[in-house]
Amino acid sequence: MTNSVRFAPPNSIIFISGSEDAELPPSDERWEGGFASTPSCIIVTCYPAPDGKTEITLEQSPASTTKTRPAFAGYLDTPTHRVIVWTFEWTKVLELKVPTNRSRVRIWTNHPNQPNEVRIAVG
Amino acid sequence: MTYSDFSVLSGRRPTAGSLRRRPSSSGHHYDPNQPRVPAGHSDGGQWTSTGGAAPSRQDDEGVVSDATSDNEWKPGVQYAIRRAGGRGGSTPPTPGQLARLALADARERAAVRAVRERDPRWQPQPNFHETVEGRIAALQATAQEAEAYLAELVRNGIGPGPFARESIPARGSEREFTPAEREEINRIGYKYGCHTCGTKNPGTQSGNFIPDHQSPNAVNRIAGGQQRLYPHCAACSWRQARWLGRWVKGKR
Repeated sequence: MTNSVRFAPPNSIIFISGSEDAELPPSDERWEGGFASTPSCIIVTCYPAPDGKTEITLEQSPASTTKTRPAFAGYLDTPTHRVIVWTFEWTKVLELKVPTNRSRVRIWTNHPNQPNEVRIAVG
Repeated sequence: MTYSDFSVLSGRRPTAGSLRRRPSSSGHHYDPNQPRVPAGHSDGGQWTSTGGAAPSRQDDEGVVSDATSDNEWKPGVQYAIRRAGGRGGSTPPTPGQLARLALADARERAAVRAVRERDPRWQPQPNFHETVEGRIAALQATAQEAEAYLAELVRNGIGPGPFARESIPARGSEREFTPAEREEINRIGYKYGCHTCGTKNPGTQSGNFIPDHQSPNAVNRIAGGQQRLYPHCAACSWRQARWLGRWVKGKR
């Protein structure tokens, strides 16, 4: 199952979590973008929104994506059995059902911190 | 002992007009949510009772006298006044204490106002006191709390930053910008830098600065008012979003 959207995320950033109660990584230090995470939330920076859109894909982990090294790999708490992609204002963008309370997440991007393609594979 | 001491201890702001005003029935604990007399009233801007009632006619007239009124003293308040000058003594507040109180009060008001301009829903931690020294300490604690939070807001791009010089009016909360708007934001950004951190490198692949709404849209839904656009670098834009992500959830 795959779903995808092409849009300009506000402030060029998306949150990935299992629920709205996720614990965001702290923002105390200056950060040059890319990825930041806690056990319950992953942050991914995208292409600068005023300059263009980013294609974001959320899918069950397919065999084809395992051939290249992901830019991010980790585990995410998914107590609601969902992986959800949000804007920073917590508007839901994409959603995928998962069978477990904790899910393996791998992310491929076409740029280290300003990608216009973000592919999120779960499982 | 003068009524000004009562005024100070009761939480009323020690302005020139209020220092010699007769006591009201308000409590002597500091309450940051204590309402103020509406503009247009002779006491406009003064703190009033927490019950929100309009000031009494007696308050309006502002009797200038050091004579006590048997009916208006509350035992607890009088006790607090007698303790005000020191530990266990009956010394009234000294001129020095009143001066320090006025300074602490001014600092606290300025800090809280600056924070609320950026985060209208911010509330300081409540604190309590029974003496002049306690009230000074409470005001200083609130000022410190507000100043620390203000620094956090500034760091995270909430409100125009320390490098903000010029800006352009926003047409609304939308994030679709015209070529003219982008050109003007780039001009300001390359001249003065990112309004939050001051860098003249926008950090974007295109070399364009990012037009940043101030107040940020999420805050402006509460604060209201006309927004303006300032140049932001990519790093400050991301940082702002991370901070607002928590703020929107009430976790900040």
